[in-house]
Amino acid sequence: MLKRPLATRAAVWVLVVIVAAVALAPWFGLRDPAEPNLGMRFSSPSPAFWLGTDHLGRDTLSRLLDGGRFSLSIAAVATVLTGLVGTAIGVLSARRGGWVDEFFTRTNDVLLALPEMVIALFIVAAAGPGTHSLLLALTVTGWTPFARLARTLTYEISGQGFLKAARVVGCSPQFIIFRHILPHLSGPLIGQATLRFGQLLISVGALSYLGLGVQPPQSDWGAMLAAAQPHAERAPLAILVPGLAIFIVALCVTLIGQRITELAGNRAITAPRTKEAHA
Amino acid sequence: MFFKRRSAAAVALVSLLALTGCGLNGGATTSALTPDLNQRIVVDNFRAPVANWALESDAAYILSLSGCLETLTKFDQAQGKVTSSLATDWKQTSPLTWDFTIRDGVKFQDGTILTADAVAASLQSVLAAKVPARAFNPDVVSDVAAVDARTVRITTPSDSPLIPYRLASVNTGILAPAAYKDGTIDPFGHCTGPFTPVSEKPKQSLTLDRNENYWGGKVQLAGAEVRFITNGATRATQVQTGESDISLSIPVASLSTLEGDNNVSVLKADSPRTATLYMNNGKAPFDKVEFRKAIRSALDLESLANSIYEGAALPAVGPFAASEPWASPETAAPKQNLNEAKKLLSAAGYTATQPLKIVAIVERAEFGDVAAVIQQDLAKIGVPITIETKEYASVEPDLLAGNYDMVLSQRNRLIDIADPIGFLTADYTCKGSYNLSHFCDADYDKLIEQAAKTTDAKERYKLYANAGRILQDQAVNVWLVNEQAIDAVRTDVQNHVQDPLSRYVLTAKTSKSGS
Amino acid sequence: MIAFLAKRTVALVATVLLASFAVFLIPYATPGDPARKIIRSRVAGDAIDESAISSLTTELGLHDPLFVQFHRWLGRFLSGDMGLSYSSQTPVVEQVLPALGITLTLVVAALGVAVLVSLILGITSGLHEGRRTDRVITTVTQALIAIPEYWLAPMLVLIFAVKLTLLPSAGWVSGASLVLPVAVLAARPSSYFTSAVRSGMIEALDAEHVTAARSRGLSYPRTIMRHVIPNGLLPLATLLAVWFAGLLGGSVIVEVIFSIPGMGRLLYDAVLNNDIPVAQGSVVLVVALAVAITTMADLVHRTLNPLLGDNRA
Repeated sequence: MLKRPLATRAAVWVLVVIVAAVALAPWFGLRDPAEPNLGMRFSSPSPAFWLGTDHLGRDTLSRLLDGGRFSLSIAAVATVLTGLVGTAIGVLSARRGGWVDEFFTRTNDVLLALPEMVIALFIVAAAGPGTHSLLLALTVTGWTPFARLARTLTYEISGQGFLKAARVVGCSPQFIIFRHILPHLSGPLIGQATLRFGQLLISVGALSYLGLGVQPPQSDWGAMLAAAQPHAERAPLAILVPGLAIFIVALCVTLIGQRITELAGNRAITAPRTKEAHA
Repeated sequence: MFFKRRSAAAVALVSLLALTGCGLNGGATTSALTPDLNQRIVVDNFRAPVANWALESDAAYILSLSGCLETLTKFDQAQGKVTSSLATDWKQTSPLTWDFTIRDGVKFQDGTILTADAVAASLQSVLAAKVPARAFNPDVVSDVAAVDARTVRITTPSDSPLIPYRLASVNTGILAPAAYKDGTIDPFGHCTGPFTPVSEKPKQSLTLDRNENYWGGKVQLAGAEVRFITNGATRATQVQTGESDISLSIPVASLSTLEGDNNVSVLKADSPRTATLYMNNGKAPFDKVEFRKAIRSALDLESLANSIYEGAALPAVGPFAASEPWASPETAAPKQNLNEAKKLLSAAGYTATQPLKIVAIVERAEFGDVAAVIQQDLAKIGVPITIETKEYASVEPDLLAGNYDMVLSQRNRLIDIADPIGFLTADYTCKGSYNLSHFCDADYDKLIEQAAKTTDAKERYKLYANAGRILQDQAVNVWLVNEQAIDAVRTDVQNHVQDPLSRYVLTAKTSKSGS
Repeated sequence: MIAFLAKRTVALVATVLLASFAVFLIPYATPGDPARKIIRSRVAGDAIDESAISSLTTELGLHDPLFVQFHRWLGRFLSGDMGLSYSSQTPVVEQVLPALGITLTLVVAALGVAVLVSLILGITSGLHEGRRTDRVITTVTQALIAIPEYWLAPMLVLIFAVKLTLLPSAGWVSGASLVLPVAVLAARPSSYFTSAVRSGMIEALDAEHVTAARSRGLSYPRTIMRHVIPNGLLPLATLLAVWFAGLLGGSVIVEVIFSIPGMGRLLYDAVLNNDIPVAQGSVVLVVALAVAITTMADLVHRTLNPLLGDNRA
């Protein structure tokens, strides 16, 4: 198999640096990311503004770090939520089978066919814009890869001798799930979660790009990109920087996720029945 | 007459600008003055026809700007008055009737002749629409009839000096009888204008060919394509790349890029649109005039106009733009004064508890930024604000029900006719149907009632000015900036005259030089 | 096999019915009056007469209970009538079919490009497993997954349309209009496909019959062509079907950025404007097609792997 521990190690370090910078940003004594300074629009990078300013004269560096805190934390929470929901559904489908399994498989087909952004639009319209709707939208559209993986793996394990033995000696279904199935799933699921984090980060950006995500003056990387786009020629950094940030983080977690997956010895997840972050 | 002081700003002859542009493409400047009769041009419009060409809907604007649909009268922005179009003459024959004389020798594009009967039938179908047009509906017009071969009589329920203005509205466009079948409208080949629509790609484009028999003279273009591009940044990019020749309604954010492009002329005109911070006068703390004044004093309108609006907007002096004939001449835009604002706040007895919410309408890309700036300004006087961006249609019921704090929206005062009476009545009288501010003042209502009956334009404008002063004195809303209509045109397009309301774009005179 | 198909057909009908009923809930779940939103989509910016709203509500039967409305729609739909769009009053079919045609063109082109790219890169990579070529290809394709399309698209427009003026910036006019959107849409599937082809190749290379063929004296290139590549492509077939089904609904972001009137935009605008007949028509069509395609893929999968039980549905 692929052996690229060096690249993976580099990816881990880059990720650690970015996460640390974003997390510790409030203690760096940076400018208020939300404060417009209409006299300082489109400033070039300078000692005062390391990455220049945007179209309202706001400091691009503070906005990048502040927006990153939002993008990364939403993507992280969404990863956990979709992981929990998806795994629960997947294990349930595999253990129960029958109409439960059929129901979730068809739901998966419907979600596969409908654009993520249309479902998100509906949820945001119904629940109002904000963090809660954003998370709800990401969870509703994002649980399927976990469910498919958990379902396949549960089937594989269920066929093995020790589970049959456990049932024969009278272990409760809950005991079997928590004691035997979930521990076996954890490796591949963590690999999957790492890969999904990158895709969810891109999805968070996409929702904000379409105006369904964060509300001003709060910003995230997708919203920064959308706001900077018309001014690309006057303030190129403002559009380059948030795009690069999403790209680098997504690339790092993809490299790490692939490595975890390889170590967990499961190749099935390179081909999940889902269409990732395609809006 | 109307808009006297606007004439210079509203007209822009691109052919002149082309001479001054020393473009990167050397060829463009030398041939700029010879129109090529074989040219076709592309116009990027900002909306797509949603309603299958129903004339009472906004689809009428697209037919009009495409040079297909024509009306009995036209409102000439440059001269500031109603001019002839399909009607050559009109007069009020009695307090309740107006007679319009139909132009001779006009043929519809299908070859049938424009008669008084055809005009009356056309107008009657607009009156009968399920959701009638604002300019021309049963409340303001009771009957349309042909009295002889060349005369159409319009009957009104009350004395109505504004009928010629109403018949300039694109919703009153005239189509051939064959256009109206089975309750649907088919404009193809049924207009009178310089361009005949030949094909349509739904939600994408409308293709038109020259009308060889146009009554208004030889059409200078072989044809045109009107594309429906809802994204403003894309319209700006397309005129820059030459994919479109004329791009309508350019967002302010793209302005500086286009102004730096030698192949593109940016046209700006005063528009009757004002970006407004609406306040819910019926709800605390906005029920106190001191509080509303404090909000107004805290904002810096001039820097808003210069930054987010890139200088393509003027700080608003009140509900009207300073250039309008009914604006009171002495008013100036309110200046930011934080100390004054704080004093007013304490006079209003305000203490910051719950943050107030500003809803920014997403249809205007810049409102999110405007809200962010307002939020910072208000933070300086200790008024905490949260911002929410929403589709207009989804908040409208809340606005009408008085279930909001502040909303950033944009209002066109002269949406159908060149007189603000409809706007002043609907938006600010106690019983107004569109009174988002929930403002109610007996003196104001009296003034408007009186104005509606005043035939003399000058007298009427004075009453409007007084009404406007009441609104500004009461700080009903904060009128932020008067927006400008911005279009961008390739420099090889000639004889294009900008219309701030985008009703007239493709005309018989529009031409393009050979390449 | 027949039992399987019958079961799937029942599931398909149930799925489509449920999905189309869910669409009916849109106006009730979202704030704002449906009739008002419909009028708003026709005319902008002024007071709307209350009587116009109530008469439209009555005309469209929006006062009726949900099930009555649904029943009415279903009856018409079964007789082949998708109804009229609320906002444009034109037949839904006339809006849905052109949009589907555009989206299909886009998807077929994008997936075609992705398959081509993944065949070249995946086979090369698989044959050079662990070597430098493999590593470079793997890294590049992984980078493709990480690029947000809302960043890639404006960048490509800036370079190829604005600066070089080689390609159109937006619209759906000529063949050239396809290039940039297809490039953006193909990036992510190219990456997944390449990785699938690569794994398939590696697995096929290790298979017993390959070793056997070689020991029978079949030359290396012939072995690769006859035994390795055909088997290596199996995972691609399934993946392709899934992506095809997944992209039928269009890509809202790509369609917005490039002003393409495909299914994504149609659905998005329909939900935004509460144009329920259009939303329903599109959802039914897209979901039915997607389910049909995944069923077909499963069928192929079962034919090729007869040992597989029903649990692989």
